[in-house]
Amino acid sequence: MLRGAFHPVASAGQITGRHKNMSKIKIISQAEQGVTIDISGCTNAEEARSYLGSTLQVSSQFWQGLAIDLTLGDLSLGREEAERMLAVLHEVGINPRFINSDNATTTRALKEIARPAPALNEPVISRAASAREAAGIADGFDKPCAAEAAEAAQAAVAVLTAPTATTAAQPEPSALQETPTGNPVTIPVPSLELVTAAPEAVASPAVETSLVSSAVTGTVTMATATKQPAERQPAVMLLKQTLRSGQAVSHSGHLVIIGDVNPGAELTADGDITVWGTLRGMAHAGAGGNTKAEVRALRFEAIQLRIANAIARAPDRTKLPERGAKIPETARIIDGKIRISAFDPE
Amino acid sequence: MSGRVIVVTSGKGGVGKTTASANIGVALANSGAQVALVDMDIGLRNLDILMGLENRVVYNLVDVVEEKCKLRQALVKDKKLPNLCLLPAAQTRDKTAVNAEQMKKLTAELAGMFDFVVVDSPAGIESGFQNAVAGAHEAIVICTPEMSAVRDADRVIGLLEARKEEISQYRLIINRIRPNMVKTNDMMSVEDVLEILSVKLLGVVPEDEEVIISTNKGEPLSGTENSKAGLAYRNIARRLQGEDVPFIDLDSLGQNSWFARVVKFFNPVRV
Repeated sequence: MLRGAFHPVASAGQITGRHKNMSKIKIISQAEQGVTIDISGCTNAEEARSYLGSTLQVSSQFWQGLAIDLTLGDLSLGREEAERMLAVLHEVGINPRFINSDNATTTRALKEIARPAPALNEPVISRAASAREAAGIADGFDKPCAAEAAEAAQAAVAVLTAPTATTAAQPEPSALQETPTGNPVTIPVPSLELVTAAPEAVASPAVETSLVSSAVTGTVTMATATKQPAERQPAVMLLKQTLRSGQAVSHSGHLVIIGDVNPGAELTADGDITVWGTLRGMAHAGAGGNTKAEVRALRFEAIQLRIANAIARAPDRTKLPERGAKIPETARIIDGKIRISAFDPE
Repeated sequence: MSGRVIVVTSGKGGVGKTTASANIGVALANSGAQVALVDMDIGLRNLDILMGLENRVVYNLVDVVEEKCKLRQALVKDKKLPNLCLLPAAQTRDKTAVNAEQMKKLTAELAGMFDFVVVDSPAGIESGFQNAVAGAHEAIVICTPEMSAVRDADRVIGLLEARKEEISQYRLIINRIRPNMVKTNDMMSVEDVLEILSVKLLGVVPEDEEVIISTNKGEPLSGTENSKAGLAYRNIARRLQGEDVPFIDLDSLGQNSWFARVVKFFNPVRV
């Protein structure tokens, strides 16, 4: 339950601590949509493979059983190079659901691999290519045709307005519009109904979270590095699980927990914390100093609450702890003190 | 034959892991199953005392792991039940004497010989615990209706959840509950505990003085005594074997009305 339940924008490059440049490889994990591994930041096949290898090996526990998409961007790969890259993925038990490429050479290489090799359990189809097919363009394409194809593909895709995961991963979203042919396009492959449509939360870019899920201790630590501009809404991390004693989650944006937070568990967020369940553990909202941050829970039974620099604690207990009110409540700072009141959407 | 390896754990000490292991082992063996009890509390060996077998211990778990003896030599047969064996812990060593790989191998070997392998884990969540759960297929978490025990059980369940691949299910036993105190709101009720832990309940064992007497005697009460706790452990063993046994009505336990006393007089087991 631990893995797969997290939906942060994660840069796995951070996990290793070896790769300072985080844009080389990005891991974008989304609710219900699986995980996108974006290696479009790498300049050549060798580099991409080494990043993929080191990142996936380090956290191989995390990958198993997840639906994974691979984004190659403009990376140019020959057939052999592509095969070797897939081998790296297979080694850690990853069978990519989609491989998304904007490069013609790569696309061709991938198609060659996908067609004759029945060894691949799931279809590996270049999205750029399938987009063109969907738009009714002939398979073999050359330069002038490609631009047309991309346009047509875009028109076909217009219905699917959701930005792709790649969009979210770009530091500058505007850069996307400037590349006419290289525009990453998401088209559902007919045989598979799964379409990657990034939720709005992920579309807010540049919050990079590294996720270390330790299967041994059950402790989840999220080191966050925020690069976002001040005016942007912080990203939301959604967690669907009960947090038990000893488990800690911290996130640079808003934190939403679907489940209970038991005593001994700790939540820390720079933004708001929302618990769709009973909050019995410790919650620290606005950890970066944001006094406007709030903590909401369906049932408040928290032992201690922190918002920015303010701390509130539950009354001393004389007998068994009393049950909290069975109504959703919000904690916020009023006149420098934490006040809990009935939940009010305003 | 591939038996089920069940680890009994709690996090907190003194909640009744060893008592539960012994009683569940005896109750399972009474139903005819081949049962091995493994004491993983290396350095603090207790299970042999509860079983009344301490004078029969020759070799121990560490000897087996270090290949000083064969597994069959180290297994101590129960006084009464020929289908129940104990693999005692070493008393002169500590938990670093074995590692998880060795334990996996050992429990796998035992699972090939027995229907049930019940592993009594030490308190704590360090290497001793990790070794105990290493080869387990299922876990039983023991917890008393106290805040501290519930907190520790919660922590342990979190650790067990992280081992989903190996441990297919974990269930809770609430031990030493006092219905009278629950009624006066001085003790957490079964519902209170379950609300926090949100885990499947395997059984509820009421507080019973007979447990201490049976420990001193070296005869787990699920085998012989017509006690409340013994009945609870027998029910737990039946549930482990897939039977659907209703939970004991705790309300009737606390009452000492004339009617309850009359019922008890004629039918001491039905509590």
